[in-house]
Amino acid sequence: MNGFFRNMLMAQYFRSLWKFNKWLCCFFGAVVILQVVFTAIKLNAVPLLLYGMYSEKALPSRIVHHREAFLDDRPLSSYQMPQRRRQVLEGSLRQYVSMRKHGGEDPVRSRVESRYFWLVRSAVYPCIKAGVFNSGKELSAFERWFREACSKTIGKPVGSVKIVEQVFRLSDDNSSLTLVSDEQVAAF
Amino acid sequence: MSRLRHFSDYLEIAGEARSRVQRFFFAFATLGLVINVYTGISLYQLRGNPLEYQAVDPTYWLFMLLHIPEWTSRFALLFDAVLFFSCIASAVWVRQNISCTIFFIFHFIYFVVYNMTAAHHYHIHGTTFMGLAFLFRSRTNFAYVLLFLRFGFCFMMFSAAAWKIYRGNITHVDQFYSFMLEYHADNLLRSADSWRTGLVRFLLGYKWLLHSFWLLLIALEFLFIAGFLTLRWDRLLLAAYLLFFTGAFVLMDIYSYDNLLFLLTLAPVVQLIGLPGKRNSVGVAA
Repeated sequence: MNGFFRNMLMAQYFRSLWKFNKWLCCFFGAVVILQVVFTAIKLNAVPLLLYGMYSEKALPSRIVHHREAFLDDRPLSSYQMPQRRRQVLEGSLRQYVSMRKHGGEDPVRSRVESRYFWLVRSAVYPCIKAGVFNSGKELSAFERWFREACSKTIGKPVGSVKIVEQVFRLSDDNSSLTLVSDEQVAAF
Repeated sequence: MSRLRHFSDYLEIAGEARSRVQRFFFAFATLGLVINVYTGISLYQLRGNPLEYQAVDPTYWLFMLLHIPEWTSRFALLFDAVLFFSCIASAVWVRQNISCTIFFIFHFIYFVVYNMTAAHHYHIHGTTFMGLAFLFRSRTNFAYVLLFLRFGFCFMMFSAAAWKIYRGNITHVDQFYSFMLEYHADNLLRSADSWRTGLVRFLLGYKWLLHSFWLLLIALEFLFIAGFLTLRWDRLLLAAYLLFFTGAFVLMDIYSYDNLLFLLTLAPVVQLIGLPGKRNSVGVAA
């Protein structure tokens, strides 16, 4: 077993790199250790990332929860656009809705203050609080940015945006989704 | 041949191929930047979102504290210009690393700001991470870094399999079914008349078939554990990733073209780009 680990490629690599360039070896060794530790404690710290990739256990259901932005009463999802542009619009909207539902406060701040007491009690926390967390006054600036971003994407001005959270049920023949309920969460 | 010699072969071939690999990488990266502009996600096109996503990521927090998203928004056009020119310069003048260093720094900043704007940790980091290798002018340093990036690539894939196994995906028959339903909700809602929507509708009627695809995906990801052990299986890893990429595109409309650049670290690709007309055997261990 010792021979197996000694002779594996990664072990050979680090032994060889240590002889060639000790600084590079220490740097890469630190990267490996940090990546393993951050993976174990489930912390993303770019460039050290978690690669869960859709592994979170999904509950079996024929119910689908869907958030839709209506641009002048037409759903955003009905517009053809590049996938990554859609990711930006939908992702940024998710951030906005999260804050709206949290009464205009950044939910990350609540999470930090409820879990990381050592950080909250530290001397740097006032600086973090002022510089890191989003505040309610940024919501209206976001609304302006989002409307403009959508306008540029669809190629025409957008007057109003309504954000609705919908619940659908998949039909028995899997051909369509039927609306069960919807709730408007924001409009601007 | 001894195993150490073949490990040395990789370093030798990769080192000698440095200029060619740099030209290929930055040509592809330039194409990637053009695609970014075409798809509306260059920094200039994304600028101005005041509600940046910071999660509990120390790097995102540092960016917020240093007001980097605001600064890049203010000088977005200049930023994009520097990104483009450093990329093109790196493809043209391959015996220098100044433009490569500038590109690496700027692309890293772009990668983080994109993710903060799109409010996620997207794993579209092939261009960003692979750029690290070209910071080193020395052929041997470059080769060592390229091989380390290969380990990073293998970790990314194997880790994805490990998470799925750890979270019980192997026996959870509803996993891929539920994921496909949520993921393709937009198309199903609009009754979109595309081949992919038709395929999804068909597959949603066969949960076990979907689960089989998921198990195949996990198996393809798990294969990458071999990358830590030997170079001998790199051809198989190349085929596995191409199959993975194709499956993700067909079933989920996911095509992380940036991550194709990680394939440059695999032994057969290094050989192919490396010495023209000379095919040394690499990684055939005793």
